[in-house]
Amino acid sequence: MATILETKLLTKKFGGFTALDTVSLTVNEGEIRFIIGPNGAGKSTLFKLVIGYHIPNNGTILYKNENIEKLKLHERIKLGMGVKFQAPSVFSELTVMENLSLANNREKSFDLDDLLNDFSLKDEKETLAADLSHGKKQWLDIALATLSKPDLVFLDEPTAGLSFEETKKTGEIIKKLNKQGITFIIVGHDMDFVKQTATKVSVLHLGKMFFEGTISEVLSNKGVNNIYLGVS
Amino acid sequence: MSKNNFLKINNIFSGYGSTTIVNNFSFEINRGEILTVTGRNGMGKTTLMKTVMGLIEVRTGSIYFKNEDISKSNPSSRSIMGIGYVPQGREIFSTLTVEQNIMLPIFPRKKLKFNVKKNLENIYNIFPILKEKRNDNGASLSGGQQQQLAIARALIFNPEIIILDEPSEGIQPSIVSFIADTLKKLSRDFNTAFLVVEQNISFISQLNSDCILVHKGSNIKTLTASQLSSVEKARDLLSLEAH
Repeated sequence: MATILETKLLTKKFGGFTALDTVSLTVNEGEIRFIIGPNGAGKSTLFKLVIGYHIPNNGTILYKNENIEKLKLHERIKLGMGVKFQAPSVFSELTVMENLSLANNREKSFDLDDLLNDFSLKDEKETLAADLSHGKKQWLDIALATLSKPDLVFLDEPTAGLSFEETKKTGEIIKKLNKQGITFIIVGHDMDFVKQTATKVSVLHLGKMFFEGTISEVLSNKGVNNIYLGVS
Repeated sequence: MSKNNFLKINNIFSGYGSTTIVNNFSFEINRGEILTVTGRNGMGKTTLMKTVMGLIEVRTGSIYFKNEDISKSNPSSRSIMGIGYVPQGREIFSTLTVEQNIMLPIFPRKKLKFNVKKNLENIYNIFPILKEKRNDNGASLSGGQQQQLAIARALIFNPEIIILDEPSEGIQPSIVSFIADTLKKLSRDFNTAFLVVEQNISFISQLNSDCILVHKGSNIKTLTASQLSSVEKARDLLSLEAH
């Protein structure tokens, strides 16, 4: 599989504090890569750097072998990326269908009815986004990020505040979209969700890359258990 | 089983505007007991907690706390009586220090029936990271540390019961386990009761408590701690598909 995203020695400082320290990460096409780590490990900083919300102090970001670290968020989206932030950022005063129609501006978008079906939003297509449950808002937000069939989608804690059944369903949707050609990079804490969905996991700690491997390698790693999982 | 009339919720209804969210809900909790409440999003769990705390009024039904009808009491009165509340999202004051955040509920109170200094000392023993960061701003804390701070802020007022709304949300697994252990320790050593809204099955299982399953604003089932002793069993039993 070809590399879709690569960071080399990526560093971000805020004042005197180094939030991300020489992090190198390679994600291949077709992966569902999870970024996990203790609170304050640098996950959100890495997320914000690769989507273009922050500019790195040092290091490079390559998307399909092109340097993108100087590009703005909307320029990266045009290259074929999708982004979903932790809090749902849907248009509350618009219906589900109106939200999707707004994002449906590329020829290669998914069929809207299929998408509504996949995300269990078919019965709510005329419902205002404001009136959706938190879980359905999260799904609408993921639908908006994936509608235009981007090649790479970033999701920041997509299951935050979801019940375990909604989390399981979210994992199933992501795996289905992945089979249809979307690569995912997901920041998350919910280990059941990681176990269900990840093809590979990167563990950050104190701003550095601490460990990378499959989910079983991560779960059996002593260091990861010490700093993050808390099981002996 | 009698719950010694500590906190008793009798057939309450509540909601927003013309919409009823909490629908004929009843439960009891004893001193020192931990009781969890779970269910899908939008089913009324947070509304139920806000109703118990007095942030949303009870339309019909009653809430008794230590044999007193508190159904019409405001949140401040309920707090003075011994009910603490840690809302979802923690609501830490980011520009105040850790210690200022903890001490905040004390400032408006003129007469206190407990030793604040001793309470603060106990809190720092329970959460050593807060002692270490006592002079740091709330904004500098990680999610897990903020959750500990939110619980500490509730503890300073010596509550007999604390309502916690999704304490594990966005927190790394090791801190989730620490919080579960801490709640159990407080329940055992200080006889503090906890009413915990939670969706994290592993956390529910670790709390070793009974768990109410909420659906469409109603209590559809209460599962015992022994039924929820393993994550796998808990997941099966708390699945709505099982009902």
